[in-house]
Amino acid sequence: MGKRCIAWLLIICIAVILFLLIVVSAADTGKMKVEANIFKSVVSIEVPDYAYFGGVTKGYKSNDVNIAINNTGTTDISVTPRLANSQEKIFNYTYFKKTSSDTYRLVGMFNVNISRPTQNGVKVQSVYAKLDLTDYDGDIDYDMIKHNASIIFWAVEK
Amino acid sequence: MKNKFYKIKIKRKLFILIFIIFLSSFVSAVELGVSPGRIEFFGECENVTIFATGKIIAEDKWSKINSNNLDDYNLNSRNAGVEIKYEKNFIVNGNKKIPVCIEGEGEHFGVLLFRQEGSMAGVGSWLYVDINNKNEIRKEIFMLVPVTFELVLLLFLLRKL
Repeated sequence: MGKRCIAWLLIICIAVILFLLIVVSAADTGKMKVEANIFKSVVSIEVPDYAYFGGVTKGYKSNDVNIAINNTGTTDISVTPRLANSQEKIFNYTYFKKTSSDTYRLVGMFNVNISRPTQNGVKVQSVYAKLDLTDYDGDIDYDMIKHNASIIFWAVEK
Repeated sequence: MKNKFYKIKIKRKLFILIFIIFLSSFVSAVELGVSPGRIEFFGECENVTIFATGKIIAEDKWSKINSNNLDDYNLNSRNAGVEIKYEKNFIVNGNKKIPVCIEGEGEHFGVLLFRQEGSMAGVGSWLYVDINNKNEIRKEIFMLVPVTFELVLLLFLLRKL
């Protein structure tokens, strides 16, 4: 058997293997092709940019304030309210709870889970907030009119 | 007399309604979004899309453990042994893609936080970094090797003939 013959034999073998590889990869002929656009998850929330606790004196607490958090994304989320400035003294005494029967938890210690909305919808979750200066241990030497601080509602995928 | 009394009552109710609508107009809501909610890094840069209107401030936090609790993320990138590059302040009008690049050996757990200036909304994307884990890329390479080898051999033999 000459070299030319061996080479041809090798070519035929390789061609057969390549043919088989192509046939195996295209073996789904006769089946329906399904197609869809799959999107990455979106974490998205909508929160009011203002909440008013009214007038609160040291030793007293405000009324419950209702804050509506909307899950406008496509995934279950966990929302944690936190003070933007952790050095803030007065609003460090802000408390949150999910339902009226729950016990209040201090800002930073509270988080609420909100399930994902139905197709193209919004899932609304109300939380109660209050400013409770009953145990406030600092001094309030002068009236602080329109005293304010920023609380960020951080939403992450659950 | 009775009619006049009812008219005053209705006027009072209307006034209260208008006053409530006037007050509620002061409280607006801000929407902020990020996609995806979880990103895995195997040594490449990834894109994060922000949905907002306004100025966005971004920051990253890291943890020694894999946790879904934000309180566990109290390390900065340097302390976590990670080098991360992304735009820290930018303006978005609708949506914007932000490239995020991470360098650093080993497995790391982080969160990339975005908040809109002057609003109460903040969103975060979990970051999972495993620079050594390139199994997926390796798998694809191993699949390509035999086919490429066969094609090269075929070309070589055809040239010889």
